[in-house]
Amino acid sequence: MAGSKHVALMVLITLLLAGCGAPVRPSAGGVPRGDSTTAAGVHSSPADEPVDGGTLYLSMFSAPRGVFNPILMEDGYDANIVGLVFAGLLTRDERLELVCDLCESFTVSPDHRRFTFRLRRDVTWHDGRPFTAHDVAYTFRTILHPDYPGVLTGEYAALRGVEAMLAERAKADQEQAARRITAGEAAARKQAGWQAWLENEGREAIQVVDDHTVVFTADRPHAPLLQNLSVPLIPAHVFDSTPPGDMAEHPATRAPVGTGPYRFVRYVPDQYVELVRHEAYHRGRPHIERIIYRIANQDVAIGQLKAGELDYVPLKPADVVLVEGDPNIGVFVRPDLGYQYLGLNHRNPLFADRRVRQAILLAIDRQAMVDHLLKGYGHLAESHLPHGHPYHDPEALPARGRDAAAAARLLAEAGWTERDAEGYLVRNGRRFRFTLLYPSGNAVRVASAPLIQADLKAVGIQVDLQMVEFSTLAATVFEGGGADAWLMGWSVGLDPDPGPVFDPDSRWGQATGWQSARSRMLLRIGASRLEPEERRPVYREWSRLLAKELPVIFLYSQDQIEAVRLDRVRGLRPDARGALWNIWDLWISPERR
Amino acid sequence: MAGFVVRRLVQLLPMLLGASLLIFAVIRLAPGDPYSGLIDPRADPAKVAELRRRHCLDCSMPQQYWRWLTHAVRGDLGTSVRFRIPVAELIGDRLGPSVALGAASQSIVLLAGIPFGVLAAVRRGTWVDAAVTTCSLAGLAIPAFFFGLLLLRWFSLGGLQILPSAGFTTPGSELSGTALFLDAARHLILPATALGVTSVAGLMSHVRSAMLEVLRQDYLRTARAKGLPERVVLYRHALRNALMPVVTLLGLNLPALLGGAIITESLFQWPGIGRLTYTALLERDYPVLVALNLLFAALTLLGSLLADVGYAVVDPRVRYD
Repeated sequence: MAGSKHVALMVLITLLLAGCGAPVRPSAGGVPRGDSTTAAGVHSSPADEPVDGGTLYLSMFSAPRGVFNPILMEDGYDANIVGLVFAGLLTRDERLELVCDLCESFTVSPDHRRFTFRLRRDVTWHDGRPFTAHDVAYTFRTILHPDYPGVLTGEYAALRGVEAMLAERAKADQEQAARRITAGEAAARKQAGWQAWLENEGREAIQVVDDHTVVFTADRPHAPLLQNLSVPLIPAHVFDSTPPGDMAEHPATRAPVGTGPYRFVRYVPDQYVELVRHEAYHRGRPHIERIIYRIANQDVAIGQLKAGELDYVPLKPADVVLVEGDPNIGVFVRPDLGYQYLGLNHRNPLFADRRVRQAILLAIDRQAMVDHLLKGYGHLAESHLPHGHPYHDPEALPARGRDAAAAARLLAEAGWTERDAEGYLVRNGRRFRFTLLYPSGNAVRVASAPLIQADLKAVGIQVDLQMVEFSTLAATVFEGGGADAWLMGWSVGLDPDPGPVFDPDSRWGQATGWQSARSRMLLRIGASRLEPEERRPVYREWSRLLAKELPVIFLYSQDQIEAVRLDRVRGLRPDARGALWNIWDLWISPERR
Repeated sequence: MAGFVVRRLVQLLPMLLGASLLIFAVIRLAPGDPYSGLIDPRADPAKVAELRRRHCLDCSMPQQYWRWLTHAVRGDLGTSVRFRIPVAELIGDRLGPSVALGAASQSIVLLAGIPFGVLAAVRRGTWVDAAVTTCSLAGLAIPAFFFGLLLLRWFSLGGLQILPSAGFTTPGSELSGTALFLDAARHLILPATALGVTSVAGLMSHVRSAMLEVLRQDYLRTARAKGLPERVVLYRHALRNALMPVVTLLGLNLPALLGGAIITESLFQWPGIGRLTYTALLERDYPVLVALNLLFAALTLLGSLLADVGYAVVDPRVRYD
């Protein structure tokens, strides 16, 4: 296990060193390049010089829905394509900090309420039209429109006047639900509220100063807003003749027009997405001419990678060993910003006591899950911000190994002292017993359920396992509140603010029923500060609180493992953003086409 | 005969209507709805509630059914909740590949199952019977996905490397006409073989036992006594009578042909109906599920009609007037 990581690291270092030899192009991309036919065709370049042309074969394991619209998509497979076709105002650098992508610069006012973006002037949409501040305004105004058929609206509640407008909409919804007004009246009220906002606060909330300057104004300082403003932008000139309510049916939702490095060609359902390079991409014309993003079967994909049919495959931990000896395949490991947890219903008297939750955490051999189920490609999760997150602080949160004796002691302190004939804990004649629901699908998670059952049995807790499919589990946990314990995972955004995950008024917070005034206060402070150095201590404190209080039992976070054909794909500079983040800078080795 | 077919086709309509009601109700018995799986905390609850209203998911069941029915009779099967395109388009895209896979694999089943079944029956108790039966049972015992992986290893990713590993056509190719057909045919060989070979056994054993039954009949002895060649006795006199149960089996197999290949489809990334059904089921995509199940219901009814017609073809005693 340690060995395999070592190899991966070696590959990574080698590549980084190799990358140093490659010419560094200015990211501004202002230098026009010569005619491509002379550049690629005539000279036979050495292997470490970028050469244009070729096709890159990527893979994913589930078919995208085909909703390739960044403000409508609901699924990660669509996001794979959107990430190549679209670009936003901001992107992430190698330290995962927000930096300009479609902007030249952005400034934040001293009161942390105004964000001014100066846009790049060399950006064009894939259909050749120039990208301007109107596209930026159009994207965010659409998200806030009452008829917008997507779910991102709440992300922008901090913009001036939006929270009040959304509150009015919620009131209209309530009155409609109570049948005091008709659906038509509710819609009319929302429309009127929207018009009023557009003509008043809305002008300030999203202000187009000129074609290349846009200013956002918030009601209050709200740090996550900046990340939310980095959502990929959609073209106003394509959509603006369509009412926002009909956007899902617009052809450009399925055949998108973006400003990203690759232009959409077609999606053959369940088969592949074909993309071709955007000649005028603002960071420089991509070298690789075409991308075929294939939908592959996870069990077959490694064979396809080895046979050279695929250039890129996301790996399961157990599959790393299958490609390890192959000098043509590089394996890149990075932390995934997500974790798995054991959710508990705190309204159940069994779990109301914090000591019991701590005992459960200590009784479970989480390290064994990392070592055996993840083959070492993972980390213990101790709190909400996992290993690899910019706000993760390992010193504040020492890893807690399995400690059955401490678990037994904590359980005894909580009043669980007696055992019945079968060795299970009893109190007032009732056994410590609960049902653990877990979803089918994620193989590692499925395998962790019986381990949890066995570990808890060892401290006298009886767990009944019940596997259900995901929709059923999600409906039970987040809509019915009928589950006692369940396994699930969160993916965590780069902004440390957890959103409503632990908000007791949200359906996510209600699933556990955990309440903490202190958590609420810390999160309010954390979200209101924009400077990372000011936010860090707040989230450190909050992480400690969660690690102690255990609103859920944090289990593990899994690394992302990516395998790439090194003999074909050149120019790799993998970092925290993944193996292919600089896709426009990669090229296909001419000898291996 | 024509009158019989028309009458049966007319009877299909009320049966499909009943089926649609049943399907509609049963699908909604499952916990959750199309938006239950959307647990991303970024998703604005107010907007999710609004999307639910858009799809009338908060309406009462009779309201929802009426809404669906009034659209369906005009040929509008609704819009997929998660794919956001018309259901007819979603299914239509996958119908062709599914029919191709179903027809090809069923051809393998027929071309192998009937002759080998006859052979095993005629050579009953000999080594031929044992060999044929053993092979077909081995085919039955191997799961299609495992056999599929072996085929990939032998013919695509390892071994001979002469066939494509996945998909319906070569990715990124701009083929049309004959070239497209040939490309698709090349892609079809492995999945059809995986699916066909593993289901030969069922038909073969049916044919074998039906033949054994028929071979004992007096009229065969008569036919032989008349001096007819053995080939004619077997294929014209015996097989025709033995085919009755086979026809039933084939007719009732029709829906399984389309929707029953989920694992093979997913192994070979075949863009078929089976995978769509599975995805729609996991995500509770109601309009898609209703349409697909209705399709399967229609195929079941159609299959039994075809079987009835088939009886008349293979057995002159059967008349439907």
